[in-house]
Amino acid sequence: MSEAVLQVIDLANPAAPLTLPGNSTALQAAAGYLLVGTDQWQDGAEQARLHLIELAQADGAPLLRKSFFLTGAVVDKFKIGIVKGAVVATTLDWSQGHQETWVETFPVTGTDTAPLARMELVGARGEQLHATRYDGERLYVVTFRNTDLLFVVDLVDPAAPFLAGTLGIPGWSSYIEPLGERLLAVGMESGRVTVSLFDVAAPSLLSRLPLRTAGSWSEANTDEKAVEHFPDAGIILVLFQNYTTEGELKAVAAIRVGWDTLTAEALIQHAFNPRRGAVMSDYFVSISGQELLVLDCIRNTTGQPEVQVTLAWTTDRVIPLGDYLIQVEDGGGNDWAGPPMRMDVNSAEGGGKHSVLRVSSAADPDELLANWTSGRAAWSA
Amino acid sequence: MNSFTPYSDGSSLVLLGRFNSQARPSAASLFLMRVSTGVPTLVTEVPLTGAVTDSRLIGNRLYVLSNDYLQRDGT
Repeated sequence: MSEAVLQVIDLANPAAPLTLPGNSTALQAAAGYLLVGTDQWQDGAEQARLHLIELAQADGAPLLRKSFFLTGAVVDKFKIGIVKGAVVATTLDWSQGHQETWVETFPVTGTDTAPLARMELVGARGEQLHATRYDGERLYVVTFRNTDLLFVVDLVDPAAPFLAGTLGIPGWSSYIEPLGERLLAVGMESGRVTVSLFDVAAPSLLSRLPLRTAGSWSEANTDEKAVEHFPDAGIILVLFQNYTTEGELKAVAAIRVGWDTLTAEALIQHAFNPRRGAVMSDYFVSISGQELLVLDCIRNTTGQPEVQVTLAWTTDRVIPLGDYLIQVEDGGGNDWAGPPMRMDVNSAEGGGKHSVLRVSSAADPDELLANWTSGRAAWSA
Repeated sequence: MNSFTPYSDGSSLVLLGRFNSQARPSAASLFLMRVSTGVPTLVTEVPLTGAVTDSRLIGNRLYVLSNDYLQRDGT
């Protein structure tokens, strides 16, 4: 058994936490309120609830205003919001033995907890619920079974929502970002990461850009922080990996977002899976667990980063040498991850990975003085 | 680990992570770091209840949602 706990940390004066029955599923902030979704197993059935919490108190302490019973579960934060004075939830219900997607609305004010409206997206019956996004008086919902269905729900009157349009295309979208009359989406199509641009005024697919070949995958499919749109620069950065017979590509794709088209702008390749990217002035900046790369997005035509900062590295063995340490990265005898690393200068000929020797002072092992890859020295200081 | 910059001057950093000692092994904690001339120092740590699922920074207040698993007879 579990309970959801909402803790407020005013760093000078932490307030008492608020506890809610059940397991928390989502947290969203909107219009001066927090919305918390919970699931609780009760009387042999799963009961989903949405809690409306006011933040108007001077000390920031959360005040539970009311809780709504939902038809289905809230699976992530993009499924809940406040639109025109109504709490709106897009929920997934399995109770009938198949998946049903519901749009449910409730009043923000007063004490009434009865729904204003409950509308099933009938066309989504039996489909998996994927990305959703609220944009003003519109709600976008993506579901998938054989094709990606994009539903546009009009919430101009939250007591009477209606389906304004649908569009079916191959694949599914895991992240969507409204851009007025356009909708930017990242998802999967034919086993590869795909970025799509939709017209939502008359729902249609305008442009689609697959990221390499089948076998690619993006962290953006499960974490929206792995995709970032920079409207001032007109660029979306999508992190992805692509596993092919030629090897593994770990990269950040910089894609120019036009009014009707998507265009590949740059590919920033990492040695380790990239995690986050940003456009800063004229530069693409991206970071992995091992390195930070900076690419001049105006003047660079080679795709090679202007700046490469090593943040962390693997050391399999350490050889003390006077006041210095030789840190050896050679796989440590573990060959489960692929061909073993080789210490000779022509290691690539043997199909093995390059081994790396790094030199630091014994007093500060984190400060690199030099490193060698397959015998070639690259002095860093 | 999640991170936030609560103050606009860029001098502070809030990290949501796990406590790393035998007293509260792997328990959730908030770490407030101050950065001065490029050097981070730990200002304070706030122990959190349960396993963190999500959080929102609103103004200078951080709202942290977690699940606390309760041991009860028959559960």
